[in-house]
Amino acid sequence: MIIGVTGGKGGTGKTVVAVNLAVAIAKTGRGVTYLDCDADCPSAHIVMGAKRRMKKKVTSFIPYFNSGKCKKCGKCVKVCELNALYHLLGKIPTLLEPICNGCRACVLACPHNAIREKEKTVGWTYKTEKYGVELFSAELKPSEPLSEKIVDAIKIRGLGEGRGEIFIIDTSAGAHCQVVRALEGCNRAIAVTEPTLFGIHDLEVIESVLRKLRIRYDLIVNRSTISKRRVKHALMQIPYDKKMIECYVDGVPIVERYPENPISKDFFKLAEKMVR
Amino acid sequence: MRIVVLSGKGGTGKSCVVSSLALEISKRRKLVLVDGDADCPNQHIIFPGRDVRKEKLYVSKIAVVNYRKCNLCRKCLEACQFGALKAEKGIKVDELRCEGCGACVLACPPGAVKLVPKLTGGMFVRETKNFSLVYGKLIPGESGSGKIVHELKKKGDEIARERGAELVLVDAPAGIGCPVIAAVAGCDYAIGVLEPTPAGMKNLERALEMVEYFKIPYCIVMNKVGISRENERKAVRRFGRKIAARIPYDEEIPQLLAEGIPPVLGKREAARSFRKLAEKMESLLF
Repeated sequence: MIIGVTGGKGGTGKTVVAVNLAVAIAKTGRGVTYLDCDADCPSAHIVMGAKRRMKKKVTSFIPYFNSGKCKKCGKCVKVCELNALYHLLGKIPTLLEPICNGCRACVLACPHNAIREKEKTVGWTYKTEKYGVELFSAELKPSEPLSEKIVDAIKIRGLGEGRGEIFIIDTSAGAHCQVVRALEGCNRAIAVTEPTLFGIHDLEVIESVLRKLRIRYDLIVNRSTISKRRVKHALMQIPYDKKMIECYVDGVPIVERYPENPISKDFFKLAEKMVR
Repeated sequence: MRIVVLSGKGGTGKSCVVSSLALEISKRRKLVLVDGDADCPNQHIIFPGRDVRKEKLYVSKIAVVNYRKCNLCRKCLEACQFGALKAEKGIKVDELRCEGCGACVLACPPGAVKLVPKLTGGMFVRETKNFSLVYGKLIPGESGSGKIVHELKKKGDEIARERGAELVLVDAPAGIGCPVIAAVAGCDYAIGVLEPTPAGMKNLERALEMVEYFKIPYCIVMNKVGISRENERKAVRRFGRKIAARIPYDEEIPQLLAEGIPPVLGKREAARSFRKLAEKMESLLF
């Protein structure tokens, strides 16, 4: 089973919920594989206090011009939808490397076969293990815009190499293409929100994404006591607790440090429910 | 002058800092606020007002197959780098995966594939009590949030010219990917919001690496000071004099934000520190 954890707004506690749930499931004896699909800001390894190992490069195609064959016709420049190529009259086209998304339209457009393959590094994937949870982590190279490519790479690596019965996918904030990529193929999802006007507004956005993808989802309300507002039909309400912040800052999941805390007990109950 | 506020990690207090800065600075100078988070816009919740302009945005494109011309040769499937085309009873385009690059159009021998503009979201201009607010809404799940942010910033500049505003303040989304790059590119100054936790520090560092790539000068505002003394010391060691201001952690702030009130309007110490931050930014930039 693949469980996606998402939420729309940033900082609502997606990663904390996903990590605690993963560790709680691991304690029931099931194999858990955690895929941190927040390539922009990977933080599951920080919340778990794990060191990432087994680095692998993720690359993307960029064009390389063969100066002998290039007739400077400018056809490749015209077809580039992202305007990553430009050329001055009578010169070989120049590539603005960070803009290129590797679509290869320029290769198809070139009548002289003058474009060769080159690669650029867009990010990395890692693997590690802690508290019985197998963790795969993705990382985007800063200044590269291709987050969704890294998400694809980590999903291929994690779902292929992962040995768990249960996969937990942690998405990034927002509701654009990389969140959709991360959620694709999930059997069910958990939307983490907070009882603020922003949290609830952004929850509606992510709910419509989940409905579009036809994924069954449950709600978890984090910091439920900071406002009088109540979110209905939530699977779990996590009250505001200084211990949560302390665990977050120290990089230890709360279910590991304070297994007797009511929040941890709720996580164990939730784990039982998910496993069943 | 264009200033962008970013943080990498979500929930560190970008919108909180931006809304407070905008309110304070607008007392003395004309400004335009651009909410660069088109996925999950929040500034329009904080600042009520009348939307004076609404526009539909068709910024991304999508491939459409003409089945009368298609001969099922599947050349387009080979050409597509994003796995957006599938062959099931004719060629199908996966709308959520298609990047609109046009490789399939070039690959198709009978010319059966066309690129058409697609509704990506909306753009709104709102007149609030103190300033104009430009915000956008991405249709949930669509690609092209970077392009929307680009349009929002262009609109922000246009409105600033019309009204004679000297400052455009941009609120960047969480992350460091394409919508954030679109928000940062072309700005004159960046403000990084730091949360003194290990994840907050690491991710701000990544965001600033991207800012440095664009050679934009920046400073850091440390938010939620008091949640971890140890990490604050680490942050000071790491970022040193780049830290221009500190905002104490006060339980009044989340309570105010929960009701959509900018924290600068609060009564306690944190509100005062926001006012000081605004003054400091002004003296730094003007």
